Amino acid sequence: MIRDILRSLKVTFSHLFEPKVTVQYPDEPVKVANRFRGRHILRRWEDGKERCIGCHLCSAACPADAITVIAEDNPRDNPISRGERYAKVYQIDLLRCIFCGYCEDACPVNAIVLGQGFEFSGYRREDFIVNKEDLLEPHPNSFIKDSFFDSKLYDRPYLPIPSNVDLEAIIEGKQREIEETIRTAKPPIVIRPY
Amino acid sequence: MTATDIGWAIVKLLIIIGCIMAVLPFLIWMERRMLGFMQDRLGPNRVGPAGLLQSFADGLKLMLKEVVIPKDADRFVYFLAPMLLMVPALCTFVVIPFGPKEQVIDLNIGVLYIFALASLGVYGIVLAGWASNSKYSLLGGLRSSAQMLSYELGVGLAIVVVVMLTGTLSLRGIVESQSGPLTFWWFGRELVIPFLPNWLIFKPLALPAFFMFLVGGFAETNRAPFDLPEAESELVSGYHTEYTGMRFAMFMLGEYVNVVTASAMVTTLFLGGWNGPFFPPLFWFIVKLMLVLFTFIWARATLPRIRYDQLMKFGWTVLVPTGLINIALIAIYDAWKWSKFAAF
Repeated sequence: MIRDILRSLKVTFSHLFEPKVTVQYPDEPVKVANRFRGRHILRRWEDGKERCIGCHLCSAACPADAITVIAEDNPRDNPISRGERYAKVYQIDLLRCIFCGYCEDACPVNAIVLGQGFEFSGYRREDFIVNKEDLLEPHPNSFIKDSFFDSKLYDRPYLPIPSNVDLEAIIEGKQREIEETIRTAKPPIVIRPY
Repeated sequence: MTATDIGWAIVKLLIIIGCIMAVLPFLIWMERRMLGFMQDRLGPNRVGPAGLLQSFADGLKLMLKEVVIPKDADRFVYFLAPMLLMVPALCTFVVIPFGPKEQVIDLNIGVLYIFALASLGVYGIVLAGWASNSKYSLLGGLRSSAQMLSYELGVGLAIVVVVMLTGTLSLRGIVESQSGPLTFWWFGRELVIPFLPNWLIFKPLALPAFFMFLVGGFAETNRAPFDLPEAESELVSGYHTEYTGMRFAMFMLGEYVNVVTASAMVTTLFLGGWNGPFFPPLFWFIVKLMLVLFTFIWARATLPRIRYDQLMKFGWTVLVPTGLINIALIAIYDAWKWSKFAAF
């Protein structure tokens, strides 16, 4: 019995000097798991164009009816997205959202993703309705660099519109060329039926 | 005793009580931090630098709390009980020798005085348990009295060992007899071991008494692993379940004052009190006191609460016989020393 007591005393003493598990949250950032999915992010392409093409698939897939998309035709001279259209209004009601990730699955261009953010708080209910400006990833040329928008975390197989396919080709239906580009593009592309 | 002496005694008393009361919040903070560190947590570190002011914030909160008195409580005894715990606890500091000059008054029966006041403190707990008119409080109070009965005896025997070895009941005398290098009496001559101090903890004959006194100190101050009177997991909060606000704080402070007293007693009786090389006596006393206090916290972080019957059994079948055997051994040693057994 005495030996047990001495041994346990040794254990507690050694723990005095061990690193502590406490995370002082507001002062220190909390590390969430890589697969943690929280607040939405609207992504951009590497050249700064918005990915969202205003197709409404996310709002159709949303079981909680939290997403509102109003699409508009891309201005020809200065296109905002790479598609025909872009999302003029992209609004998510975070109080309705159930973070199921169906919008992510539905998105053909991998524009809407669930990010790592989890700090939801506000003084009014309206604070939880977030618009496109709040959701968009910063422009690559922007001086805002935020690890919060670490795009690499959210890459997943999708049907891409590679940057070397020009819009004209899509519009004119040069299907063979597009397929060729897709086939030779790296990394290997998974085309999912939808 | 002249009027000047009395005046000085009062000044010393005020300074010592003031220092103790000022240090208590930091002791509570230290205990919470240490417990946290031993459990891989950080402990309170938000209020003030490193959380030093946490206890003051808690005290302020307790002062602002509403005082809730149970409906059928015995009001007079209910209000009396915390004071009965706190006041005897503070009274013990009169005789504790913090240094050769830093002692309020040296009673020639100092050990007995502290012993008496320590047993008086249990009345506060028992009466609190009785007056609250709540089953948890009552059980806590009853446990406290039973615990006190079974441990007082062991502690008393440990003190008898100290008194036999030092030959005095005055705390100053006990400390003074522990000065110098370690000395034994061996076959008619003095055996001096030069690099060890003459503290009782280094004497094999006092070692059982030291452990008995330490364990008894844990039990008397109602701390883990003997915190049965306030066992949170069984009795909500034991004898102070029904207390709120400052009255609860008084129980809390009383407990910590008791812990400091018990540590000071261990320091004085077994660790040589203020004796030590190079540094001033007060420094040595405080260092040793902190070490013993750390042991108290350490034991609390390590050992789980033992069961009620185990506690009684340990008190009566381990502590008391050990103490008696220890006393008998010292008696034989003394008899040998005084050449009663000349045939050896």
